[in-house]
Amino acid sequence: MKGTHLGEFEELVLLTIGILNDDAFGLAIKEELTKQTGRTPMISAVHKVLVRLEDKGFVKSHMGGATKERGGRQKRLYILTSDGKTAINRSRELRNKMWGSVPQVVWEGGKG
Amino acid sequence: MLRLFRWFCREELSEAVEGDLLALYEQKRLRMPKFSADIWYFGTVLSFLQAFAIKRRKSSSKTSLNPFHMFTNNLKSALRLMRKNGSYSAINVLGLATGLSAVILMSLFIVDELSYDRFHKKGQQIIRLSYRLETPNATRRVAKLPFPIKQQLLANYSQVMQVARFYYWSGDSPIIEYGDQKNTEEGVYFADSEVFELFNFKFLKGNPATAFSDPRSIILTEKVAKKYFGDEDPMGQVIRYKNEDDLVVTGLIEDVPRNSHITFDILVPIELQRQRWLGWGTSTYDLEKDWNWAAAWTYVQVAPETNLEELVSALQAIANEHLNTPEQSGFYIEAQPLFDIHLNSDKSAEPGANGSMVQLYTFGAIAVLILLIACINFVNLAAAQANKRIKEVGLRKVLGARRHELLIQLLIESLMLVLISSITAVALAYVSLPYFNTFMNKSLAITATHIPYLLALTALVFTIAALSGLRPSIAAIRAGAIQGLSDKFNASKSNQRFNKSLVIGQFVVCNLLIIGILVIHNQLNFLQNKDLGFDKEGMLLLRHGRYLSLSEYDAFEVKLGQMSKVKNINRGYVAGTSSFTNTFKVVGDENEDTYSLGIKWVGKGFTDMFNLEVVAGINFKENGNADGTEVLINAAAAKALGWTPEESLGRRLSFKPGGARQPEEQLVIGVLADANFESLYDPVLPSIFKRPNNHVGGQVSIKLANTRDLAATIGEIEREWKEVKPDFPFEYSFLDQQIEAQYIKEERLASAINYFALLAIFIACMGLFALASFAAQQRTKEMGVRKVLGASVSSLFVLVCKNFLWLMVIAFVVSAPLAYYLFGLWLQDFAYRVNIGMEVFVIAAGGSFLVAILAVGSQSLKVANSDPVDTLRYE
Repeated sequence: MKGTHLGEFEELVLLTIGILNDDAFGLAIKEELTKQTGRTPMISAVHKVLVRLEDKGFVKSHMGGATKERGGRQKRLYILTSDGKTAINRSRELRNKMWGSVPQVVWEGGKG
Repeated sequence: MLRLFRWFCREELSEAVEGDLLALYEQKRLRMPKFSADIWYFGTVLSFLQAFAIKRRKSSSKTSLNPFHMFTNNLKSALRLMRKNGSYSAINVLGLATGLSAVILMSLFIVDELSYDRFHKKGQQIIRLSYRLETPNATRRVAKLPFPIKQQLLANYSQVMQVARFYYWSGDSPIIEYGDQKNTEEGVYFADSEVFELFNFKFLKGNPATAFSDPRSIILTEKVAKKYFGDEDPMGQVIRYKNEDDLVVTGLIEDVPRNSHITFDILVPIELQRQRWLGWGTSTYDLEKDWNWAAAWTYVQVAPETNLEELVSALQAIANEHLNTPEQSGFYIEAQPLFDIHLNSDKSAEPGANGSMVQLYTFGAIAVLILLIACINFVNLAAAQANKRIKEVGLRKVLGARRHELLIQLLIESLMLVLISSITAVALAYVSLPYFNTFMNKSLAITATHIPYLLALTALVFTIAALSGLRPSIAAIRAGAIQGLSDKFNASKSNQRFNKSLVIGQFVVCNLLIIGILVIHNQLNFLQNKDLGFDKEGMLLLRHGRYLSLSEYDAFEVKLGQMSKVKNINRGYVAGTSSFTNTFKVVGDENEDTYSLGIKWVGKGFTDMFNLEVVAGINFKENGNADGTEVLINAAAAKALGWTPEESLGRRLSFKPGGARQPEEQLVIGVLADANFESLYDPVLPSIFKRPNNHVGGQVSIKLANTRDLAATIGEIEREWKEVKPDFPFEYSFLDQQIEAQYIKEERLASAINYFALLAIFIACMGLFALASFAAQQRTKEMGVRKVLGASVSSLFVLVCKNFLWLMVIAFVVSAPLAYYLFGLWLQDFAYRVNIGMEVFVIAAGGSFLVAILAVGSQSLKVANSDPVDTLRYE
């Protein structure tokens, strides 16, 4: 196991999967990410992260839901595992803790 | 596009990604033209070319194998196989190795021939000028031009950057003396100092620019310097030339490379010859002003991007002004690139024996053919092997071997054979190179420069052999395991047909070579035994006879006349050597036609000496004729002039002897029978025989009464020579040997073809042998059944042989017309040639049949003799 560290883009993708809940597949994730963050990631980048997240055990996937505009191809739908949920939570906690540790003066001193 | 994607993408990913891609593509199509959407699509697919998406070859579903872990095993089984099939493997390796070594030798030869003169750095820019003389009855191309052309070229032609000349006369053989050493040197060439500018003859000592500034200078090659000076420094030493002039050594150069079309041991300035003939100022003959004597090989460095054709047509002005005269026109100046001289020259008076493209092609063709035969062998043997190994392959399959693993195994086996063969081939070539050099008169060596080339050759053979060896193996692998194990599998019909046609191909080549040997052998025999029309036996030529003064010769003649072992002695033209030609006109002919006829200045008793018959008219009188204007002509000359021998008597011919101002008239008093004095390549040269009234200079020839006790006879003659001419060494040669030397090129070609043809036949036989034994094996059971049913041994023998003999018949039918055509072409070069008779074909056919029966017969006999109890037993 590669450890539980989360990259920034990985974290965003995990959150997007959470947002989309039951309908998280490659293209939908890409579009939601664009809507939420204004970024336009390559579709391959999205899939790359999905594969890695699945390897790390943060998401799991199953096939389902063929539609016409997809040329009859099935979607691979991703959902968060409990490990995944723990990982984003821990990530948020880590951030919050660190936010709390930054002295007030940094924000108000205006020296930098 | 999707196929590309699917090809590289992992299966579990592709479905979903494809869906995304298609959906995205549809979105894009709504917003942009198809073309842009396609581009985007393509780019996106490529963006998936990342580690996460690409198929994992050894994915968890299959056992991951180390591709090399079977390697040693494969090697081991290949070695075991070789040991088990000892004779097959030996035949295979031997065939390929001998074939390959022959190819190596031949290609060394070809590479060497092609390398001639390439070491001259300015070679691309150098041309050699020569002339062509067109007369009504002949066209002559001569490689030399008169000396004064050099000034003309330099003065009048801007394209000419530099001119350098060589001059050499083989009869000159000057005597070189230093200290107590005194020898005749053969390789003394005259040269301009410009030769060192044009050509890259490497100076070890001395300055090329100033070496020839004094006419009394001499440049030695290392070889000669070592001979005269040993380890001493030759520079500045004085060498005596022709017993007259003292020359100072002003340069030491490396020996001329073997691949130079012009080869010399010693160089002296042309100015030396000029001054000697000018008597160092006391005489008037100046070779630099003599336009009548074409003596110098003239090399020109032309300016870059000169158009040769334009230059040649411009040069014609020189020919028109100085060479063409009212009496003799038809001279044309020709030019040829330096690099063409060795292989593409058809001129007379070349500085050395040239190679020929024909020979090169012959060798190349033989090399390719031998390689072909060797490779065919390989294929056929592999086919025989593969059929035997069906069972092994089947069992391996049952045990789980995959197709590509079997392929690798078989590939390793054939590569090992090729590798062993290649190593053996190089070793063989290395060992046989000295012999090859001897009979090709070359000094080839396998050096470091050849290594990449040898590697390339080996790689080529590797590929050919491996691929050809694989063909049958693949068939074996394709067959199902059950099929292989069930004993039902046999080489398919098409496979057998393929192998048979290969055998036919081999024997077509063999037949060609056998016929080639016979034709060349016949032709050479014919040339050597052909009655030349004159007596050449026991004829001794003295090398320095030319230097005898009149009185010295008379004294020598009297002395030798007293010796019982000497039958005759003569001075003047010697039959069987080349001679001069001149232009003649018939006196009283209104058309003023000119004829190019040979002219031979003969001495007293010439006709007796060489046993020539006068067919019409009379011979010369014993002591010459009063005014010396009477001549004999030969029958060929009479014919060329349009007369019968009788008609020609009393006619008058006129010509201008070299140096004379007025034409001289000659009266024909007799006609000699034709004798072929020159090469048998050419028909008899129409010739005039002139007998000067007072004396004739030139060669001295001695006819011995018999050739018994040769050493003693020659010893006696030498004693007399020492008395008469002590300052010239006594050196001699035999006429018949000298004539035979003309055909050395054919002899070499013949011996080379002999060896290589034998080799080819040998290799082909080995292949046939292997094939026969394979066929015999396949039919063991059949033979057993036939025997049980009452077939006799002889009928079985015939049955097995028959198949192969059919192949021989087809091969012969194919090769006979081909051979007839090819060797007919070769014979066309000779004026006198044998016919390709029936006997040649009969012998060739008989030979190849015999060989085939020997190769096939033993196997057939073995099968025919085998005990049916053994062959039919089944357990």
